[in-house]
Amino acid sequence: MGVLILRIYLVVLTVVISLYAIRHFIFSFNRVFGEQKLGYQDVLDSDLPTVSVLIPMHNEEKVAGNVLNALLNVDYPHEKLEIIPIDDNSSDGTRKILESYAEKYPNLIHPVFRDSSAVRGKPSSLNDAIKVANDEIIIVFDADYIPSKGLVRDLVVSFLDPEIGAVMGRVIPLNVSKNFLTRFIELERSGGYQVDQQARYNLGLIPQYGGTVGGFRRELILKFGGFDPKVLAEDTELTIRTYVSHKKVAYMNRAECYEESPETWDARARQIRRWSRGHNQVMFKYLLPLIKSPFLSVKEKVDGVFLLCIYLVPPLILFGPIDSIILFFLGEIQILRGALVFLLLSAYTTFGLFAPFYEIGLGAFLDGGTYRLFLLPFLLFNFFFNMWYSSLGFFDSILDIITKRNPTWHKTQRFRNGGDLDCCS
Amino acid sequence: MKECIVTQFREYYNNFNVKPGEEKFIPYHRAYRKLVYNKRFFPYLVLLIFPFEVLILLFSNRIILKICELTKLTLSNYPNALLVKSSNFLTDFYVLDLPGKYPSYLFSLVTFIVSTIGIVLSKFIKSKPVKLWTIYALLLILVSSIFFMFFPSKFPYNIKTFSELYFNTEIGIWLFVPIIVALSLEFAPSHFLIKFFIVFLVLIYSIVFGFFRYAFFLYVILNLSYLFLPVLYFVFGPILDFTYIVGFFSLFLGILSNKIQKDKRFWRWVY
Amino acid sequence: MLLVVFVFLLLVLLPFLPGLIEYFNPKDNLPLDINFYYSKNPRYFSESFKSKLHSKIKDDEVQKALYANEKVEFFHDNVRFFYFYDIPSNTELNEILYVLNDLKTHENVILNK
Repeated sequence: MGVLILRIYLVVLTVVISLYAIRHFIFSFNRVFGEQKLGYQDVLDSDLPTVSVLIPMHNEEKVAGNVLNALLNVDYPHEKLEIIPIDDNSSDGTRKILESYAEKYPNLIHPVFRDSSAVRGKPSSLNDAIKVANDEIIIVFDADYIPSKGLVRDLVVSFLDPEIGAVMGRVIPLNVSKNFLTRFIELERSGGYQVDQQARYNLGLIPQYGGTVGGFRRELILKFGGFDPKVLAEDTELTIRTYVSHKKVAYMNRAECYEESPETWDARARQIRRWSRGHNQVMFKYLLPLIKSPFLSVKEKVDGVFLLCIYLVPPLILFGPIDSIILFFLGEIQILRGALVFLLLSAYTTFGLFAPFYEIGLGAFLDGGTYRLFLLPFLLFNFFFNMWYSSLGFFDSILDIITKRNPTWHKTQRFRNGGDLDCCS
Repeated sequence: MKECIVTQFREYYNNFNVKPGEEKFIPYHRAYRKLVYNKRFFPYLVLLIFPFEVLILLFSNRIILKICELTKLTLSNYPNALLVKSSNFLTDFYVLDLPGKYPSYLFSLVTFIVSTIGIVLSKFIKSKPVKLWTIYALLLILVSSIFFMFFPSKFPYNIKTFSELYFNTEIGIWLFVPIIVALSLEFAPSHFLIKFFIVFLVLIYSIVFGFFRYAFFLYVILNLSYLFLPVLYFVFGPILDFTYIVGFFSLFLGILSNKIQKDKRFWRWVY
Repeated sequence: MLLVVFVFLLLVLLPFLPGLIEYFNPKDNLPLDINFYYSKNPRYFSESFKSKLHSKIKDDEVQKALYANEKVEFFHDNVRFFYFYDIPSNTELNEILYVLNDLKTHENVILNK
């Protein structure tokens, strides 16, 4: 009986991974050969909506100046723009920097200061800022991002389409050359944004709002009472909320912004674990509402299920080798041939963070990458790393449900020295 | 007056520089550029896969026989190695059979202790991916050593049965490799024959790799014992085949990318 | 037999070799280029086209074209230069026009280039 269960598990897992493999093949085919759906950036309209740009910050003295300088230089009409940096109880010089900018640009920069009594974390910070923001559209940047001159306009113009509830731009790692990890992340990002996101947008599926270099309608988030501070992946939650509210997410592949990738494996591990935990929190909360929603087409629902369950797959895959090893010791040679298929498929589909190796390669190829493609084989080393920390995140989310605990937010480590990047002052 | 206008014409646009040799190519932005679709994509895909699948189905038994014969040559210290017949639902094939080495209780115990220490010490490995792979391998050795300490007679493999498992796996890999390689390469804007050649190369590499891996596995089993069989299969086994599959793909695509980035013939914009 | 072990390990490591070379002697490790000053300019295409025209066509050719009403070759197309141009009704043109001052068109004018 036990052996039968182990065999069935392997078969089911192989089917699940095969479905993801087919999905990624379709995405790759569409991105490389299909008709590309342009973003709204070519719409030129002087009647633009009012915008609040929110920048959550906690101990960001190294990078705060850069993002504010960049935003001061955007070509969005200043009379329709408001910049709201949110100081989330910083203990370094962040507050002083924000106060000096607010003094210098009183009509443009209106910081929000949160003290130790406020609930920490990005969702809570955004909630506080949204209460004071008066504008129709909210754009969010993380503190280490450096928006270009036309980026805010490119993102906001999407909202001229009343169907659009949220918009997502493309994130490009700046610190690529730092070490192996940053080079891997750059490759994974290429696959994820250039191929995956764009293909989902082309096919009318569900491109994901990523929480930064993106924006949403203020009314949309207020309809739900703001972001849920217990959910670590407020971006995934907003994506699903957008679709169940009969709106769409627009993906703007042309709206690019530099980010700073984690430079240490510890930071990357924490990042993946947090993404997985938050994503699975959203899965538990929204899987059924998504399926039941009358506002999504069948293909959107199918893609939505794939999207929500993506961080459920790693723990399933992690049990796969355990399953195979048990069968190995039991001498189940026949089924081990099937275990091979499973192992190959899972390695094939999960080379990057849930992207087949060729999807990542094609992303880099479309980006104009040449020799960086030679690094692809090294991504095999990330196989267990991604599986392990994604699985830990999944178990964290299970514990969150059982214990109803509140997550503790940790500061993302910044690696850039303030002042190195002075693009726009 | 006319000269003035022409000078103004020239001066006003001084900021736009066009590099020599690039006048003919309008660089499509990466955001929406795409490749030219070849209508023969799917027929070529079938042509890249089908011949190799047929070859493997027809000749896998002979390839395996050759591998076993060559491996037997390398096992000159083991003259009692025999070729024995086995079969699966596809074909009959020959595998090697010879007495393997079972670990003693002491060896299993020492291996258990060493692997446990290794797992503890691996926390000092800085690179997390390497750390996790190391722990994975050491855990396999640990579990195997426990198994041999308490249930040595229940170990289900000898060299013959392991060889059957190995070559059944290899046949699966050889059938799988052209599919994966073809699926990934077919996107690339390159001549069909070049892709065909690369699939062929990868398959040859896979067969050669399969031989050396088999010989390596037997070397370890015969010299160190069956205790290391699980770690051999689950760390150096099928998952390692992805290294050369992705290696060939990335090398080919990287070189191709260098050649065609500025060649207008291969790129389209939006449509 | 040791040779077999050595060759096996070599075959395992060989796929990583190009990547190692790239990592230690990087040729393609810069971030993707983003133009910080990129901004939607409605006149972008016209300005870009003009700059290409300017780089390709010499001053004296322009002078000659203006005076003698000749055409100048621009890649595989012809360009006609005018100070002013008033295109009459029901005209279809298959040439690139470069008008230094005002261009006026009347009804049913088709400009194919």
